[in-house]
Amino acid sequence: MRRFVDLCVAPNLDDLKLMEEMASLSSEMGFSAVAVMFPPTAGEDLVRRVRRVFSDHGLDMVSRTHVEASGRDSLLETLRKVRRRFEVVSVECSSRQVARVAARDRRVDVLRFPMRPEDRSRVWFDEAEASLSSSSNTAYEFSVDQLLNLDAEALSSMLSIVSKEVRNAVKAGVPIVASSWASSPYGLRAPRDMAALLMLVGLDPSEALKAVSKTPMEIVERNREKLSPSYVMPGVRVVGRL
Amino acid sequence: MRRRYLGFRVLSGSPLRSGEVYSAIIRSMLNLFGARGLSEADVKLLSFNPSNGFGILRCNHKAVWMVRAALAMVSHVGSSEGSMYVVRVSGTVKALREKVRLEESS
Repeated sequence: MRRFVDLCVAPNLDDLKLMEEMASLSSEMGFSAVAVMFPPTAGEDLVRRVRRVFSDHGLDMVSRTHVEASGRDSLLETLRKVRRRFEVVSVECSSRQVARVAARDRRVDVLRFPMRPEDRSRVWFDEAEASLSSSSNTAYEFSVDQLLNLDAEALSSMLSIVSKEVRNAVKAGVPIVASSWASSPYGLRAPRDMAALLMLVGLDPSEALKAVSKTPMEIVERNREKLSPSYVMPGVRVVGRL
Repeated sequence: MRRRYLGFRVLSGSPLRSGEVYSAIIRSMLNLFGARGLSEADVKLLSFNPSNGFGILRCNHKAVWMVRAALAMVSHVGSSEGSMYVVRVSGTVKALREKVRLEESS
């Protein structure tokens, strides 16, 4: 059976009631796992507390952080700090320099591009970016919230940019993941509805479903293995000590 | 023409009338696919229960993904913030109602 993953929800982590509502609705919509966004400075206690809220609703909570850096050096420094603490690390590609460094770096799991169409025409997932991401196996993120609340003109230009980005990702063999980036229950979308939005930007139905199930699950499982104490390097793990 | 029936749920902070729900769906369909897409999809709201937010839509079987996408793009219903999601899709209304009832009782 297909296991659906929403690779990013971003609730207010102080609001327990809101998180419970979102967990309950995500479970009702058919998700098995949900990645919750934490600030890069979040401690283990907070992660544990949030994990409990989501697991009470039968969900596998994945810890995710989103890095917003102004340049190469600050990006690399933040990645050094967060990589061993979160199961999924994504980067906001706010400038071309940051986007290129993030796409090359194997510590980055997911790339996210600016939300506003006018910024997106400046920094976007072009062919060079797709080629770099492909070599480091970094995924391209399609977030539903970037399409919401836009007027017809902005929506059409956003759909056009995202369609080109998806085409570049498919051509270069870059994994595509979809997520809601919901900060409230109203922002959540059902997995098959998110897949339908991916079909709208040119992905075929089976690939669209993979973007909300197999692909994000593979990222999570790969990182959980890397974060486990027995992990040494790809294909090598400690099975016992003498 | 083969049809599909979509059971969907509306989330909203305020009570809704079926007319408001239907116009939110049609607006979203028009925004994404235009008048031609809307006519091909042949969308019709068969029922909507304001007390639990559950409704049933009928559409052309080839347009299920379009209706799903349109529902996912809804961010306001009536005058308040809201969203919609598809609960089940079925070939007949009877089977849809049974599936939803079974899911809700389990």
